[in-house]
Amino acid sequence: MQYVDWTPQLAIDPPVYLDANVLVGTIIRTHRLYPTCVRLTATLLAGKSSVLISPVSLDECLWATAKLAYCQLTHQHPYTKGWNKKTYLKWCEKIFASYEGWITAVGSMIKDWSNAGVPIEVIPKTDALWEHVVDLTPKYMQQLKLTPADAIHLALAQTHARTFITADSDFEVLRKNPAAGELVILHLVA
Amino acid sequence: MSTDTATIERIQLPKPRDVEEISVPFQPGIEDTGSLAWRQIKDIFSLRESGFPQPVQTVAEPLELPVQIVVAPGIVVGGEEYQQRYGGIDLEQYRQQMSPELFKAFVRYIGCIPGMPDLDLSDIVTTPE
Repeated sequence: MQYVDWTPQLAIDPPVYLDANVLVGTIIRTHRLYPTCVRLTATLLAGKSSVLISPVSLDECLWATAKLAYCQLTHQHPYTKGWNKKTYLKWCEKIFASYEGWITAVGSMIKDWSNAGVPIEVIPKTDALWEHVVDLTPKYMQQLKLTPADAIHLALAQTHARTFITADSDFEVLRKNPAAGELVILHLVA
Repeated sequence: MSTDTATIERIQLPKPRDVEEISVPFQPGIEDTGSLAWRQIKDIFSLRESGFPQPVQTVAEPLELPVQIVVAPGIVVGGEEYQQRYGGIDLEQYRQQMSPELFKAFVRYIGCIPGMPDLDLSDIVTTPE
């Protein structure tokens, strides 16, 4: 694997697996990474690059937008403690009543891209590849000290993609200790 | 005996079409914005408080047309939102690189959530306990 900081001049080798933080960064307009995420997204769309999405990514995007909606409703900063599944269940109705558009934004965005001709696939594609992901995930957890979710992302990318794009600095460990494989990890920086 | 007279000039505001002139009750106590118009209003109030007879003033109702910008067919946003979402992006470049349908899909959702600048994207996407 190679770990590289993304610049607009870098050629991106498809298929490209997108981490959830890239998708969320594309829809939050005041975030410091927003211009970078949008520029990257535009590059992928204009090039009609093959994009891979996983249910894990969608799940994380949904949690992120639900948390943002909760923080908006309660005037809290996302760093404030107290956001957990119980809080979500308590506030679920109000979150959807006021901010359903936020919750559905990432999913709708991906569908729009697909309908406009961007080749988007949901992975894992096959049972055999899924078995490979299942085998790789605990190895990445152990070798790279990644969380289960991050290890699944990396395993999905390794088995299906040529490029994995992320804004998560937890993958920084791969810069000095790259795992086996041809995957290129592009790290988004502001 | 000569008496000094003060001349109050009518405040010149753009008169929009199809809007009738109406009386606007000015309220003292509003924070000074520092604009020329507001300084003139303050001058009027100070003269009125000094007992100087005031002519009835009428001004055209300020018409603040909401700025609506068409980003792509069917996608219309306000001026402030446009600046936040698309201000730093070379939309013309992308419009030329993408089909109209793809460009519309591109601009529809980008930046649709205000959010905040110091979010940790990795933290925000974490599944809560």
